[in-house]
Amino acid sequence: MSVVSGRQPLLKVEGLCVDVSIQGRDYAALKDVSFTVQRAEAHGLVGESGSGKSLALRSLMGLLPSNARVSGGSAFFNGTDLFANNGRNFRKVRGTGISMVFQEPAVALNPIARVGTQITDGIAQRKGWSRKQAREYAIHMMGLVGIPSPELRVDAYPFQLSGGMRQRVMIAASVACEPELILCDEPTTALDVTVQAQVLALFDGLRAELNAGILYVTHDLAVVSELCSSISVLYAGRLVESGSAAEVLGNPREDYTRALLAATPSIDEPGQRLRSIPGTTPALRDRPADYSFAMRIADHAPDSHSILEEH
Amino acid sequence: MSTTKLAQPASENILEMRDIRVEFSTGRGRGRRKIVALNDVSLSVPRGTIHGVVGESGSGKSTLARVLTALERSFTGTVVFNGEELPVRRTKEQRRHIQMVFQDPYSSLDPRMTIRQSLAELLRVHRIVESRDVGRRCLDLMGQVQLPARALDSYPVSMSGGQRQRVAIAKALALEPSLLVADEAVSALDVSVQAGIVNLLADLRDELGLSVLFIAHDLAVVRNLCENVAVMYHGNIVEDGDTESLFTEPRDQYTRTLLNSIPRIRY
Ligand SMILES: Nc1ncnc2c1ncn2[C@@H]1O[C@H](COP(=O)(O)OP(=O)(O)OP(=O)(O)O)[C@@H](O)[C@H]1O
Ligand SMILES: Nc1ncnc2c1ncn2[C@@H]1O[C@H](COP(=O)(O)OP(=O)(O)OP(=O)(O)O)[C@@H](O)[C@H]1O
Ligand SMILES: [Mg+2]
Ligand SMILES: [Mg+2]
Repeated sequence: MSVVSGRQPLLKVEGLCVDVSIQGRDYAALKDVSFTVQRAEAHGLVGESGSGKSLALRSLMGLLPSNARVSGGSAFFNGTDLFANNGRNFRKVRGTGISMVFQEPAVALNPIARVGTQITDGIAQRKGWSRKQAREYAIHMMGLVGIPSPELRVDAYPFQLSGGMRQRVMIAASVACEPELILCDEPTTALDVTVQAQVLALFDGLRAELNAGILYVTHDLAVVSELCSSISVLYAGRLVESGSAAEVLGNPREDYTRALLAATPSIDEPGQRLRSIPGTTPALRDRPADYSFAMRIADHAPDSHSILEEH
Repeated sequence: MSTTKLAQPASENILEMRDIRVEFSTGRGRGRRKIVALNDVSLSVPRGTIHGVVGESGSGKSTLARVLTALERSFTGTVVFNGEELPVRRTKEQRRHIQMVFQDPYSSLDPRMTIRQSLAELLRVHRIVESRDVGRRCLDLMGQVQLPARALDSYPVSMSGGQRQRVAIAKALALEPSLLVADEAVSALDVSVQAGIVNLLADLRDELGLSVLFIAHDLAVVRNLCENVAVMYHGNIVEDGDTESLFTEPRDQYTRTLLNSIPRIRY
C-alpha cells in the first residue's frame, strides 16, 4: 500500500446528486449528499423508506436503475473517482474492491443455481480452485453466517431455504472475496436477533481484522448503534445530520433524527401503542424543490399515536 | 369501521394445530438427507387475540403458516379451525376464513389492476356482497385499513411500501376472514410505517374481533402487540405462553438466548 493511499479515506463521497426520470421528466432523488468511510470503519446511513438510501448505494456500484443517473458530485474510492472514465472504473472495483449485499434476496440470487456455487462463483474463478475446493469454501462461509448444517444445504436451490437463510447466502456471497468496502442494504431484516448478532459480529470482524470499510443502510437505529461508529441521516434525498453514533443517537441536533428515535419501538416499555411519525415522505414527483421535514410536520396535525403528541 | 360479522363463536380457540409434522429432503446422491421442518408442533390461538410466533431463522415459522393456509399440503397432524377439523383439500369457504399477508406486498398485488378492480373482483368471485354493494364495501375496506378513498383508483406501483401493505391487508379483509396469518408482514417496512400497520392490526382485533397469527423477528413489536407468543427453534415450539411472562421470566434456554440478543440503542 502506498503512503498516499494510506492517508486517503477508503471512500469519499462529495455532493452526490442522483436524478430519476419519470415520464420524461427528471426528479432529484439525491441532492448534494456527502459522507466518508474510513478503512476499518462502519458508517451507518439511516432514514425512512423513500429517503434515497438504496439509490445512494447503487450509484456507488454503478448499478442504478436504467431511468436513474448520477447528475453531480464525485465518489473517490482509494483515490479513484468511480464516476469518471464513463463507468469503466466500476468494473475494476466490483467484487474484490467493493461488494454489495442487496435489499432483495429474491432479486439478487439466481433461482436455478445451487447456493454453494453462487457463494464461490467469483473467488473460485480468480483463485483457480477445483470444484471440491470451492465447495469446501462455500460450506465454510455458510457456517460463518450461521446456517446450520451447511454441508446439507450447500447443494440446495434458493427455494429450498428459509427467507433468512437466503439472506445469509447473499451475505456470504458478498464477503467471500474479502472486499475492501462492503455496501449493505438492509441485510438483516429477515434474521432472528441471535443470527443478526452473529452476522453483525462477522461484519465487525471483517472491519477490525481486515480493515474493511462498511457502509450500512438500515432504518433500524438499534442495529446501527451496535455496529457503526458514525452515522449519516437522510431525509427525502438530503443529508439531515451526520456525526459520531454517540452524537447523532445520544444527542441529536435535528427534529427528524429525534422523530426517528422516538418511533423506534422499545423492548423495555411494553404495552404501549407504537408511535409513528405523522405523514409520510412524499413521492419524488410530489416533492417541492425545497422540501424539508418541517414542511411535512406543518402539513400533518399530530394524530393520536404520533410522536409529536408529547412535545 | 364496518359492522360485518365474523364467524360465530363455536369454540374458545379459533385455531388448534395438533402434532403438525413436515419433512423435506435436500442434498443429492449420498448426501441426500431429510430435514424435519416441523417436528410434531401444537399451537392454539384464543379467539380475538394476536398470537406472536418468533424464533430462529429456518425454524419452521413460514412452514407453519403454509400448512395453516393450505399452501403446504404434505404434512401429518390436524388443523382444527373454529371447532371443525379442516381437510387437506379445503373448500373455498374454508379457505376464505384464513387469509395470509406476506412480507413482500408486490407478490400479492396485480400491477395491471387498480386497487378498486382487485377488491371488486375478490368480492364478486367469493360472492361476499350483492353486486350493487361492491362499491360501498370497497370504501369500507379503505376505511378499515386507514387509506383515503382516492387510493381506490391508484395502481400498486404508485403507492409506497406501507400503503401497499395496507392494500394487501384490505384484500385479506375483503374475504371477511376470522384469522389473519401475517408472515413477517412488517419486516420490510420502516419504523414509522411499521407502527401504523401494527396499530392497525391492534384496531382490527379490538373492533372486529379479528384473530391474528403474527410471525415476526422484531421482539419489541411482538411484546407491544401480542397477547401470547410462541418461540420456535429447530422445528419445535420450545416455549409458548402469555407475552409478559415470557419476556420477564423466560423458561427455555433458547428463549433466554434470543432475549439477550436484542439490539439496543446504547446512548
Ligand atoms: N427506478 C425508479 N423509478 C422511479 N422512482 C424511483 C426509482 N428508484 C427509486 N425511486 C424513488 O426514489 C426515492 C428513493 O428511493 P430508494 O429506493 O433509494 O429509497 P430507500 O431509502 O432505499 O427506501 P426503502 O427503505 O423503502 O428501501 C423513492 O421515492 C423512490 O420511489
Ligand atoms: N421446499 C423446501 N424444500 C426443502 N426444504 C425446505 C423447503 N421449504 C423449507 N425448507 C426447510 O424447512 C426449514 C424451515 O423453513 P421455514 O421457511 O419454515 O423457516 P422460517 O422459520 O420461516 O425461517 P425464516 O425466519 O428465515 O423465514 C428450513 O430448514 C428450510 O431449509
Ligand atoms: Mg431501499
Ligand atoms: Mg419465514
